[in-house]
Amino acid sequence: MTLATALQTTRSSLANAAIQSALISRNVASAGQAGYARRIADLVNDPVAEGVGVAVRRIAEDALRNAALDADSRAQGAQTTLDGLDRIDAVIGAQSGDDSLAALFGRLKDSLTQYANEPARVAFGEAAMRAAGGVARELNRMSQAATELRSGADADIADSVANVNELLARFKAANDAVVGAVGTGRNASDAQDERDAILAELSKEIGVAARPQRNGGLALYADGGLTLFDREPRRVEFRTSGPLVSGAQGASVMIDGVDATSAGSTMRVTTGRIAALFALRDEAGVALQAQADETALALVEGFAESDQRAAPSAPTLAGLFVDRLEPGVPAEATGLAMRLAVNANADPAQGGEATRLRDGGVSDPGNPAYLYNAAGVSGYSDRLRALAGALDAPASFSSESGVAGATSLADAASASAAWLAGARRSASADATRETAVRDRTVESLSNARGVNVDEELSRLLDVERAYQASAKLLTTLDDMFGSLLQAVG
Amino acid sequence: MSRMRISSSVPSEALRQAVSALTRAHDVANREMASGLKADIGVALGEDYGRLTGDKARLAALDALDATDALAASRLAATQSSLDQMKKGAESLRGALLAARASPQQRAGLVETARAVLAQTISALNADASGVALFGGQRLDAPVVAAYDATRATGPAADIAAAFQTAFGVTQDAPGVAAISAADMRSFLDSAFHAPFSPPGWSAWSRATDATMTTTVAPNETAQTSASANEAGFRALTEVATMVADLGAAHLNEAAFGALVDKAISVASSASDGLSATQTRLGAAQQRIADAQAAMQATRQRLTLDIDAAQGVDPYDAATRVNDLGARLEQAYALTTRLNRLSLLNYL
Repeated sequence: MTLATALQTTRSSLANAAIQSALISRNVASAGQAGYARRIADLVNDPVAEGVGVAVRRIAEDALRNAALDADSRAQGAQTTLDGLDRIDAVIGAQSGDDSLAALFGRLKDSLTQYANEPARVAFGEAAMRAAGGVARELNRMSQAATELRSGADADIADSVANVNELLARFKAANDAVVGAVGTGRNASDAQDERDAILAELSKEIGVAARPQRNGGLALYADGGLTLFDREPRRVEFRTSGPLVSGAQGASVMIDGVDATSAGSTMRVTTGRIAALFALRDEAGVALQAQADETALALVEGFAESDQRAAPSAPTLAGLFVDRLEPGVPAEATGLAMRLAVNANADPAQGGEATRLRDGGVSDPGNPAYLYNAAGVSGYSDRLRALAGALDAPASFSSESGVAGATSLADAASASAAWLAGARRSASADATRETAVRDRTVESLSNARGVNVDEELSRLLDVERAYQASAKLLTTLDDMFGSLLQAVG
Repeated sequence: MSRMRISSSVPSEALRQAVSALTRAHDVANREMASGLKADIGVALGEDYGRLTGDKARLAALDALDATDALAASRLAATQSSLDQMKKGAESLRGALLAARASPQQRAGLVETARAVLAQTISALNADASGVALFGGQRLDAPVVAAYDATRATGPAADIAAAFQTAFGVTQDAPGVAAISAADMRSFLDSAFHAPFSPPGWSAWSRATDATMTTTVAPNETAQTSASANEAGFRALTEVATMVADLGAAHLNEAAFGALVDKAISVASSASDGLSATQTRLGAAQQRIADAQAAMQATRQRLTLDIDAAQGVDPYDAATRVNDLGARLEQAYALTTRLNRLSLLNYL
């Protein structure tokens, strides 16, 4: 050891203090930045310089980061589901108040019963027609809302997929920067921060698992197992389907040419916004359309008029409720709710007569075959009573509709309201739970790798002390050199 | 063992989240306190929401039935008072008949009484309650029964005049009526005269249908709530009144008049019996409506309570929550300023 070596070590100590204080100020400056991982300066022996060097370490906490990505992806999905159902609910559900389908069905049945009790009072018939018009419009609206939900989700999926592709392209740049820095021994911290930020964005759209690679890079897999990124971004493709009316099928998201979203896919994405949008588009929306369509068909059938003559030969025709496009009783439900209307022949608002509800002949006023009130008396109420009964008559609903247990039309309207409320209740509970989990996980991640300003400040005090000591050493060494030179000179 | 550390952004972030959650809950509690209803009924009830809509529909149905029950009840009350009137007519005619059998000089008075009863019966059978005919069965537009034409030119009066002419070869007012034998009169009264007052012939008098009005008085419960002019009592009353009023009773000989009066007395008592039977039947319907209304009232109260319980909030609970949440919000605000001061920076 020589004095010169001591001088050398002191100089490196001063340099270290500079690096450390720079790191501390960087940490303090980034304290409020979400997703910033703090850097730590580790002092290491530097055999080359015969002193102590500084190694910068980024507190990455990859396991916690992955947990936070997963939690965020679930929370995003749950929130998307809730938002979609809330929008539907605002149009047709509990929030829409007394004009719910169940209430309108009740009103139709009540006014038919009242008209049956007082068949001479056409005012009751007109009230029944108003209620029937309300039912038809509500079913139109329900089908329309379901179509908008599905089409809206479809467009949102397209946006999400475009976003995913853009994020993957940015991810490649950030990942390449990390790999480059690691390869050449430079500090990769900033590039890693950038890469984590992109990953956080990406996991909102689609559930992502990140696997480290030997060169410092990351490979990304969608939560169904499909590769999203491995050195190069993979192609994520989606084609919007236009308006998704009932019966119309939307396209799937293809990752690297493999179906990632249809129900039958073994590599189906299950978390994140895209998966939630698919559930809205292909499950909730389809169920709503099916409910509306099947209810509409049961209505047309229940109110249809048959040949009343002793020897029936004329076909059964659609009565009070008709398909706008064709006069007969439709064979299948698909799309019917959108086309449902009340028959103008019985609707006073369209120039018809409400008494046809009582007497029959709504379908074909001139035709004696469909006349139920053969005696032509104004107290005839059997037909009206039968019509009121049609709303309570046994009806069956498909399992696709989610109201398969309903036993009658009136029951189905209540079951449909209960289905939506139940879906919202569980979506709301999911969103609350997943958001809480996300908040806690993000909190732990932030605690683990975020910046504590007090800690940084106290560390700065340490650095200051070290600096002071080094400075003191330097002056002492200088004095010693001075004494030595004086003694020699 | 790792030391518990905390990042500087976490406490303030946690407070931010707490404040936003508290504000949302505060808003919900405020709305619930103001409206008395759950803020988001669908989410609050979930699958049970179907039961609420079902209950509401049931309540509305009961209200609707109650309204038409009231109409049916008032119609039945009007029908009963018409029936009372007819019954009084039948009784007075029967009294006059019994008096006339004892003293034949009361013939003229008897015929007058019969004419009055006939007119009164026809007008009672054509009565309506706010436009709905009471005795039409299912034909609810008046008049139900044809008027008795005093000139015998049209309607049932003409038919009876023709039958009389055929049977006896004279008109009811002709002096030749005195020649009719008791036996001829008896057979005329039993056959030719009786025909228009029994089912197929009665259609000349009445447009009413045999079927009466059916009313759904309560869910799944129906009652027959109107009378038909075709019922036996009305036919018998019309028959006896016509018999006495318009078969030339004034000019009949003693024996024929006696035969007519005997027949009339028997028909009059069957008329009274028939009217009583109708009154009893309608009275039973009135009772069923009253019972149904009482039962529905009880059900309505229960449904109203159920609905309130399902969709309402306890106002005290809501008010307490508003206060509580307000206090916690204030704490959160206070903590935020405290936290800002709590930094090493302030002490270096």
